[in-house]
Amino acid sequence: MQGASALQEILSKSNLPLSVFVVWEPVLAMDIRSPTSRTLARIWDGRAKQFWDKDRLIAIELNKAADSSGSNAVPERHVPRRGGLVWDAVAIFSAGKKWAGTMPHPDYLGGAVAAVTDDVRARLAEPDLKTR
Amino acid sequence: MSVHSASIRRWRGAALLMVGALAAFLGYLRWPTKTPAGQSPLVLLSSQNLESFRHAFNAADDRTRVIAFFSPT
Repeated sequence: MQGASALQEILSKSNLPLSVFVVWEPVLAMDIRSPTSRTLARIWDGRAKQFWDKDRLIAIELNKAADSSGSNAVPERHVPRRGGLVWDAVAIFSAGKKWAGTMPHPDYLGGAVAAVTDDVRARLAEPDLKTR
Repeated sequence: MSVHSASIRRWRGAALLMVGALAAFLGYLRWPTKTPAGQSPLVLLSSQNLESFRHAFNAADDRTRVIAFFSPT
């Protein structure tokens, strides 16, 4: 929850033309239903779309993208990843990247979100990232 | 009041409590959620509509995209 508030704070201080996909997924045993309105309200930025991913499908796709080796190795910062699960994490993709067969490599993958806010702000502000 | 009827009342009270708790739990599970003003409604992802996520991701390829992962609790 701290991570969601941290992300909202980043968005509040940025007027960049972003698309933000907020993926809520079950991590703890008590995560048996989609997030409540109160939880969703933590991310109130109009650039955000929110999803409930009970089968963690997006995390699986991201794991595939992040694990694939090659020259596009992802700079990864302490992302909680366990058993196909990714949570309290932010992935950033530059403009122009397409999701064809598999999700593209993120340009940045970091977490816990509250701990990497400076990194995320810096990455979002990179001119290369905005126009790449 | 006999011991027998007191026992029945206790069982009835316990049963009512359990039904109430079950109703509250089911209500919690089915309680509708709303996204903040200005956002589209919450999308419940499944393998059937995963494509819609991919489509939205690609449709926004003129700008930087952020995917964030959180637990609701």
